[in-house]
Order: sequence, then structure tokens, then C-alpha cells
Amino acid sequence: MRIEIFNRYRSIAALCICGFLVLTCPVTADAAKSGGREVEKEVTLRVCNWEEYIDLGDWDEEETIELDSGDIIGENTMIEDFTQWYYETYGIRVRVEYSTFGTNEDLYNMLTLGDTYDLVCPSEYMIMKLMTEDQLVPLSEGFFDDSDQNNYYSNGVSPYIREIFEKNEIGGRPWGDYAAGYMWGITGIVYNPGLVSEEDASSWKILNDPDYKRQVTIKDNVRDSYFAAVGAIKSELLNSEEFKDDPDYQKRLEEEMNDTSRETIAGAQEYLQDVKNNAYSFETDSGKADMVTGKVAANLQWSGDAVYTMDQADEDDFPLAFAVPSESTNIYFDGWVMLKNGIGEDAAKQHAAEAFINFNSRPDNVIRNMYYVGYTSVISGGEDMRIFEYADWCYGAEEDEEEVSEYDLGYFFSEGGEEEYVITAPSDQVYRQLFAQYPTQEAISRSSIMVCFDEDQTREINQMWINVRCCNIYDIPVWVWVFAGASVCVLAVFGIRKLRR
Amino acid sequence: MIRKVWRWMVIIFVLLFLYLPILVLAVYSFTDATNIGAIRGFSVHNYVTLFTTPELRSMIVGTVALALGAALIATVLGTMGAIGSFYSRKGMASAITTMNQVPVVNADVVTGFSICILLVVVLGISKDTYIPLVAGHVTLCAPFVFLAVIPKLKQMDPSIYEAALDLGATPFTALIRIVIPQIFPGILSGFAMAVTLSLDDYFVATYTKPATFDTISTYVVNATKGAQTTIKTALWALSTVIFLLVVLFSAVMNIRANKEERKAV
Amino acid sequence: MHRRTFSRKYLGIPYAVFLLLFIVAPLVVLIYYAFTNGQGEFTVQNLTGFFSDPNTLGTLCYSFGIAMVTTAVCLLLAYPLAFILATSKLKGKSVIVLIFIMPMWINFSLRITALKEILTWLEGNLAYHPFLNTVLGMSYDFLPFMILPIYTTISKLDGALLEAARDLGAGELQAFLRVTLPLSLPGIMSGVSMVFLPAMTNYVVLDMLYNSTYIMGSLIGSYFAAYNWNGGSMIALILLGIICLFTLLTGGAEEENTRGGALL
Repeated sequence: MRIEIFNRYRSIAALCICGFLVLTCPVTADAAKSGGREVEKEVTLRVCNWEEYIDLGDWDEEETIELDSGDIIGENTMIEDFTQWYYETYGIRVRVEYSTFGTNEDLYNMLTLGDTYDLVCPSEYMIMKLMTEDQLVPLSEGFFDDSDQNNYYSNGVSPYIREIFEKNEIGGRPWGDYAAGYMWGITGIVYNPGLVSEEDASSWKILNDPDYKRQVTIKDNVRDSYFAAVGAIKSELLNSEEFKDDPDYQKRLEEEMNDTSRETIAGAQEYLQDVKNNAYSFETDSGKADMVTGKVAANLQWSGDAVYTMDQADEDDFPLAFAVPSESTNIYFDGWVMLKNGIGEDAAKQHAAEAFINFNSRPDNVIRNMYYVGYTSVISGGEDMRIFEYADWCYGAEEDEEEVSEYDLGYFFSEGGEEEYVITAPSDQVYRQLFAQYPTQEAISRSSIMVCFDEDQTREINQMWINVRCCNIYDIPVWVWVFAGASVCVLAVFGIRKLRR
Repeated sequence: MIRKVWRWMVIIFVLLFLYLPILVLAVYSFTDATNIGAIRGFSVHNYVTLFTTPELRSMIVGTVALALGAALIATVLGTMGAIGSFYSRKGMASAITTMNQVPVVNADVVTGFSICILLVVVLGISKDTYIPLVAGHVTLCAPFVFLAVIPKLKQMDPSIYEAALDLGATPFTALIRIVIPQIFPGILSGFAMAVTLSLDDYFVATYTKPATFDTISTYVVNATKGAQTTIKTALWALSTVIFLLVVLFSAVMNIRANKEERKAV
Repeated sequence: MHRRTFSRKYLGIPYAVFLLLFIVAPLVVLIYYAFTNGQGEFTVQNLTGFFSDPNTLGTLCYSFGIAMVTTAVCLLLAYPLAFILATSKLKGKSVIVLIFIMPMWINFSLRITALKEILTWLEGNLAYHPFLNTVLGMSYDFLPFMILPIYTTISKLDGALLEAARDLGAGELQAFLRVTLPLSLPGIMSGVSMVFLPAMTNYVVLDMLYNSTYIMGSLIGSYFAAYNWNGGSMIALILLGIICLFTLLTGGAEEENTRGGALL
């Protein structure tokens, strides 16, 4: 009889094995196919980018961006379009393996643990760290050749950004030699003007403000939170007249915001522990949805996410606003860098990687990415006016709009020529999306970059971060100890009685 | 005895506790809503998204392939180990059993962490080869197969094997045709346990998976942190689909069991 | 004539090798990392550091707290249910048991997502009650794992023992307390061991339910992210030590039971 049962279950077992083979069939077929395509050379490009940071296509018809120079719509993902463009332009097939990361530290961790990538997009302090560790491949000379029409980056990057990338150095080498910018922005607070006053939102101290208990969110990564914490504990100093009037303001601001002395770290730890009890959550991406659905009243956000959030909320007729704290703000640049252990000496890969950067810097693709993600691209377009047109299309006031203000974007777009880059926008945009997308000179003037920390400093702030999140044993209320002690006694009594029997 | 009313209340209460969230999600997956609490209208767009998004499809296929593959390897290893340990000297048997207990009582996080440290950090095997991932899952599942087969071995009648040998069968043939069929229910339940564990696992996968591969758990955990509502609602559809599959599977198994009972009568 | 060149006990060798490679070796590596510092020198700093830092001790206590409350809640829900199911004379009992086990097959992340939506709808702002939500989430996740072993143990109990007790004059409650409960203890222990340690280390439930406090699992995760293998390994060893302690205390006697075998 047992043999019969065996026979019956044999069919189930066979079914499972067949199912397994069927499922893995596509995988093996794929491998066989690419093996057969050895005739055409195929370059594999491994890209790792932030999550939700590139156009994934599939737009609705009504989302078409109608500019004077032509319509722009994203039908396919940017990756597919790149693969096709690369083949049409250079005749080589490229296969892009695209993965994502959530924070710079996650990316660094992945790289340390042996994940190899060719092209990644970290923030400026991580770029600096990778540069000091000599892990990057410098951009080739051909990349900066202005005469090549396909070098969209070199031809289109905003002079303002280009200057920053050339001015900032680490280890004697400017960023611009190794990194090509992708998106930039500042950090600030997205808030619900109905619940939060502009005054409250203009300070980092809103995070541990008990008036907004469990109504604020903070970022779940140590650098952004540390920046906000330092801003909050040094609020008086940073807001003081004499600090702001200091001729060396920029330099001093950078020093103060990147300070890692014992007292500052201890102060920040205390502050963040208060925030932990006051905040709704430590988030990376979920804050956007929580703001739009009204679950929280204020959000520590990067400007790009702020634009996205405000746009989404506008669809629900729920006006949100963006404020930049008076103490300071962090100006960040996410840029493409090529990794040595991915590219090595492979010229074909480097060419594909640089082409990927250029393709994403083509004005129409810039607009697609900016629209989809919400962040601000470093590309101004150069001679091509489409990006400015896009900004105007987004934020320009209607003919009959009454309350308008002039918003000058010359600092970003202007090549030093005669053109005027002024948008006439509805007045409230001055503190909403337009402000977040292209911050005013005034906001940028009180911004500081994040400096890359060395090993000791990194270890100390990592330790601080762990301390913040852990439950401190002295915080456990007394009644818990009493209860635990009593339970242990009761269990011990039972145990002894059982043993004695 | 405990009155009937109380019995049924307990059963129903626990049933509700276990199933209410899943059922609510099932209801909302058929609507247009993006949050629980506001029904906008009937729609199957979540299911369409689920089955047409290549990302989601490859993720599901990957998870199932991994589960079946790891469970197969784990079942083979675990069964061999159980048979071998059952017939070994006491010392060897108890050594195997003790080592076997470690992943059973250990937390997933520690298992995943230790496999990653050994394979990726110390031995330098790249995660892209899928070796750490499969090894991690097999390590997670094989001990449970072992534990499932051993009781059946103990219940087995040893004289049949001896009889087969006496009748001229080689030990190997006797193994295949006598021992295996007798312990087969144990092997099957071990396989089912292995599949369950592999499908449900998050931590071992997080520490050992290649960057471009996602299992259902890792995907859902990352997606719920994000802001894309279409993916969020598509995941509701996924949970409903899995739920329905599980119900179907149990119903089928139950009908088969009933048929056997009736045949036996 | 060939005799016993193939012995069944040789079958155990591949598995033993596998165990050595993937269970013993990582353990050795963990011990190595736990007792060395970054430069490879021997040190007990990791251990003493853990027990002298109020934050890590607090994390241990918090994890214990969550695990204990979760285990208690699961027991309170699972035991009556398992008892009722095992002692009832319903037809199609196995189907009903299957219904209670089925949630195990739906991925836990999907179940927690479902629970999160319900809790959000009930509570409005999940962040107000992090501890309560965490316990609810964990109990929801681990309840089926507690039901199964207890049910199997009780259903295997010899009914004659209960009858004997009743013949000797024991009342309902007494019979239960003195016969059923002690005999079902192995099942309880088995269920507890399947719930306690995961409840101490499953930080995904906390993340998804907006509890920002770290538990032991999150510590491992964050040490790992800072590629501090030494700290992470020490935490892993401490967790293993806790399990060893627990197994010793409960006599480790319930292997016969059910952990794997009662599904089909």
C-alpha cells in the first residue's frame, strides 16, 4: 500500500520538478540567446542609481509636455531609449543592467561587499570619498570636447554648476575631472501651511517641536539627520547677526555644519533622541506619500522630492509649501562617476558609460527626467532653450493671473550673454514648487555642502546614530523592572516545584 | 465541557484576527482606491499592472524558481542526511543532529549574516553568482527536511529492508524501493516546509542576493518604503492572488484526502 | 557476492560535509570576528563593550520585552484555539487546522502590509503607539507558528489519561491543569522557541509599522551596513548564547515533535 502512495505522490513530485524547469527555462533561453549573439559585440553596462530617479516611461497621453519647440513625452523607459539611441548613433549594442540604492551609505556598502558596477550616481560627499580612495576612473578627454554634438553634457551643463564642479577640489583634484552632475538641490521643510506657520517651518527646530508631535518626519540616514541636528543645536549662533555679516560667512558656515567635535556629536545625539520620540517616522521615500495624504504636517525633504510632493498634493487640491531653514541648508549634487573595478581598462565600457551620461543630458531627456522625478537637473541646455521653456511652462503665470512676481533664473541659465531668463510666476510659487526647483540666490547663499568625513569621524557619527535609535536602558520605566522581576520570581517558583517533584 | 458558544467564539475570533487584513486587502485590490477607507469604484487595474509589469513578473518568477530550486537541493541533502544519520553510530548521529539544530532555533538574521560573512567577506565569492543566495536558502531549509524525515525513519519497519536484502536485492536497490517509499510522506512534508520557508524568507535573501535580483519579500519591503502608489496597489493584488492559490491548493489536498478516506472505508 | 559495500550510513556524509561547511564554518568565522578587533588582534572589547553600553543593553531589554509580550499574546491566542480544535469532534477537522496554518504560506511582508493598512485605518497615526503596534504585528506574523506545535501535541495525547483522571475524581479544571497542561508543555516549548527568537530579531516588522527603536536584529543590520563585522558577529553570538541558554533550560526534549512533520 505504501508503494501506491509513493506512486501517487510521484506525480506531484514530477510536477514540481517540471514546474521548476519551466520557470528556469526563460533564464537559460536568455543565456543561450545572448551566447548566440556573440557575432554582434555587446557591451554590458552596470548602472546603479538612486531609487525612483530616472524616467520609467509609460506616460499617459495627457501628460505630454507641450513646449513651443515641440512636444515631449516619455513612452519607453530611459534605458530602452538609450539602448536604441546608442545603437543608432554608434552601431554597438549595449545592455544596461540597472539597479538602485536607497542611501549613499547603502551604495558604499554594496561596493565594499563586492557588487561591481560601472556607473553610479552618488552625492557629492560620497563622490569625494570615492575620489580619495582612488576608486574612480577620470572622465575622458573626448567627453569634454565641445565640438562633438553628442557631448550633451559638456555642451549643456549650466555654467553655474560647471564652476562649482571645477572650483571644489579634494586631494588636489577638482570634482569635475571625475564626476558629471545629474541632479542638484537643497534640503528644506515641506509643510502644510494650514497646520504649520511659515515661521515654524523656517527652522530646523521644528523637528523636535512638541506642538507637532508625531507630525513630522526625518530622513533615515545619518548624514542628513546629523546636518539637521547640527543646524538645530547651533540655531542661535547661525541666526545671529554677527555670524551672518561675517565676510567669511560661506567658509564658516561650512565649518560649523560639518563640525564633528565631541560636544557637537553629543549634542546632536541628544537632539535626535528627542526627535525620535517626536517624529512620525524615519523615512527615505515614504514621507512623500504621507505628506500628500495628510498624515504628517511637515517633512524634512530634498528639494526634488518636495517638488514631487507638492505636485501630487496639487492634484488633490491640497496646497503645500516649501521653506528653507534660516540657519542653513544643505546644497547637494548627485553626479555620475565611473568605477575602476567595473570599467577597468575597457574602453568600450567607458564609452558606453559616458554616452549614458550624455544621453541623459540631452535637453528633451532632461525634461523627461525632471518631470518624472521632480528634481532639478544640472543641465541648462546651453544654446538649446527647451529646458528654460520647460521651467516657464511649469511655473509661468497664465495671462489673466493677477498676483505675479518676477523670478530671475539668470544665475543658472545665463552664459553671460544678453538673454533674459526671467519667469513671471504666480506669487505663491515664490515659496512653492518654483522655489524648490530653482532656489533663489538668497537661499543658496546660506547653503553648505556636506564634507566627506574620514574614517574616525564616520565611525563616531555612525556610533551616534546607533545610540540614537537604540533604547537606552536608563529610559526603561521602573514599573517594567518591577513587573519583570515579579514574573521571574513566579516562574522560578514554578520551575523549582517541578524539579523537586 | 466548555460550552459550544465559547468554542466557536474563540475559533471565529482567531480566524478573524488572522484573515481580516488579508480579506480587506483582497476587497480593496479590486477597487480603484489607493488607501483603505475610500472606495472609488470597481476595477481590475491592479491585476493588470501586476501581470504586465515586467519588474513584478520577473520578481515573482525569480522567487518561485529560487524556492523550488533551493527546496529540491535541501530535500535531497536533508533526506540523505536523515537516512545516513539514522543508520550511523551514535556519536556521528548525535553530532549531525546537534549541528542540524543550529539553523532551526537560530534567527534568520544570524543565519543570513553568518553565511554572508563566510562566503562574501572571507571567501570573496561574488553575490552575482547566486551561490551565496542558494547556499543560504538551502542552509535555512535542509535542517527542517531532516527533522521531517527522521520521525518517519523511526516509524519504519526495519524488517522489510532486511527481507529485501535476504531476497537478493543490492543495498542500493533496497534503499530506493523499500526505504524511500516508506518515508516518502516525511520527504514530501519536508519539501513543503522547505518551500514555505524559502518563500517567506527575507533576511537571508537580503544579505546574500545579487543586486538585480529581488524576491517577493525584499521587493515588498522596499516598495512599501517608496511612494509609488501603483506598485503599492499592485502588491495588494499579489497578496490576494497568493491567498487564492493557497486556498485552492488546500482545497485540492483536502478533497484528495477525503477521497482516500472514503476509499479506505 | 558484494556485501555492504554501499552502506546506508555513508549517505550521511554529504550532509555532514554540508553542515560543516555552512553551519560550523560560519560559526567559527563569527567567533573569530567577535573576539578580534578591526586589526585582527584578540580582544574581549566587543563583549565587555556590549554589556557596559547602556544603549546596547537597553536594546537587549527592549527586544526581550517585545519578544516576551509577543510570545505571551501568541500563547494566549493559540493555546485555547489549539486545545479546542484538538479536542473537538468536528468533521473536517484537518481542513480547519489547515485554514489556520495557511497564512504561513502567504509572505510575511504582504501580511504585515495588510495589517498596517488596517491599523492605520483604526488608529490614524501609527506612530503614537509603536510598542503596541509592534507586538500586534509580530503576533500576527508568528501566530500560525505557535498554533501548529501545540495542536499536534494535544492531538497526540492519550485520551485514556484524561479518562483515568476523571475516573479518579478530578474535576474538569483539575484534569486540565494537572494532566493536559503539563503533557502539552513540549508543544508549548516548541511553539515558544519558534516565536521568541524571531520576535527578538525581525526588524522589518518594526520598520514597516513606524517603530524607530532598534532591536537586536536592527543592530546586526546597522553594524553590517557600517561593515563592522566585529560588532555584528558579537551580537550574533550573544543571540546564539541566548538560544543555548533557553534550550538548556527547557531540556531540549521536544525534538520528536512536529517542527517539520505535521503539515501534510
